[in-house]
Amino acid sequence: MKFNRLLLALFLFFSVALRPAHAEDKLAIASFSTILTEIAQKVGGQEVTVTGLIQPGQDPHEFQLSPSDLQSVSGARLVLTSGKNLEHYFNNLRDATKADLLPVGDKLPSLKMQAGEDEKTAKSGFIEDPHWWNSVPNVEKATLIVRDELVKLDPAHADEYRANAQSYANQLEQLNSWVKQKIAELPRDQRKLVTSHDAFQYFAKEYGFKIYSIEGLSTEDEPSLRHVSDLIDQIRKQHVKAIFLESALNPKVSVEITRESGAKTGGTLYADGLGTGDGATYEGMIKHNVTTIVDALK
Amino acid sequence: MRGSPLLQLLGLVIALVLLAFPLRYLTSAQRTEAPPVNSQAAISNVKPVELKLVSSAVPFTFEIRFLGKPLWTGAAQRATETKTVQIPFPPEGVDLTIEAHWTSPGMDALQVTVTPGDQPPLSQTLWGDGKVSDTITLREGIQ
Repeated sequence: MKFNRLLLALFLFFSVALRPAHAEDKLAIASFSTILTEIAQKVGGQEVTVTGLIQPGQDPHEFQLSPSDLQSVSGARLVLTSGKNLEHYFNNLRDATKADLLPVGDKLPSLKMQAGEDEKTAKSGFIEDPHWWNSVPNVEKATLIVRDELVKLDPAHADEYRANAQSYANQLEQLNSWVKQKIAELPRDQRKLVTSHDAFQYFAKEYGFKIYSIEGLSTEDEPSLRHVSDLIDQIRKQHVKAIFLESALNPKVSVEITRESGAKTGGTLYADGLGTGDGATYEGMIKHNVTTIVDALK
Repeated sequence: MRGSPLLQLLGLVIALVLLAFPLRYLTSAQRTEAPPVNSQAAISNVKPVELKLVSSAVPFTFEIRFLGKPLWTGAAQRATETKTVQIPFPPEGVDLTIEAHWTSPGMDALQVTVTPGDQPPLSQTLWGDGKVSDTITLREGIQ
């Protein structure tokens, strides 16, 4: 009898000691950006569980926070958001959660943009462009920001987080070299990018493009007839070869401008984060965008 | 109204047919074909550009690519190599993809200097352990 009890005690001891790490032992992270979901998974590795609230292909400009989203967030110790005022529901989120809230983009340098008519928060007439992820070096910086937060919240696994972040940052550096090399195929005076909404400023600054956008910073902005007419004139004057559509947006206005200006449709870009197909990973998304742009404008 | 109604009708038909051509021209949607992209500008920007490489060690091999194509490839026995090429050099500058390999171990440096026509020289230095591979932008104001 005693022997049986001893066996049972040993069994219980080893089954607890040797059990694989369960979800409840891991650092729970909720993410409101497909890009940050990937960064958190890469940096956190086996030590975290990441819940992506925004799904690939979903437009983050139009995302509405629901009660079920708040339930998902309630179990998290860290909530990642894009920042730079992209999440109009940020204050509600802050009030509803006790988790650490990290608006990653707020720690990155900003490009300012003229505010649209519905962007009431812009007292100066300018707002911050939230699309920081379209520059690869920005994503590298974001990786280090996420790493530092994970190290702070879970110092026991600091070495793993540092090693994972270094490995992902190396991948991003290689990706950036590839981007620069691919874009170098395009003469600098031909780097004119016409896109559906103004999501590629960080990309343009990083890689020497001039941007002509059809809509404003937000996908909710509607272009005025005058803006469309001026844009068609610009496209003709600047001899822009191609206009690009976006995976998450209705292409109606872009297609009309393409027809009127005599340019061609250059292809579809991932502007607001990861999607499906080529754009299911950050590397795939960037390679798809860069190849589409360079091949259409060459 | 005088004259035969048939003749009047014929006159009206002729007038309408004559009007149809200018009316069609004025009312149909025009599709403007974009002219070849900056082809004229690109041709006028072509100028002799002197390329100069200064390496911290010899021998070394190198390749310089411009617009995705090899511009200058070589195996150098001297620390300084120069070559003049004819390429478009717009005010926006040029991107050059540089790759170099050294056989000697340790950190090495390669200074790339570009002198477009009668403009002042522009240069950048790349550092690497045994090799360098990077794309650099050379234009006025960026050194």
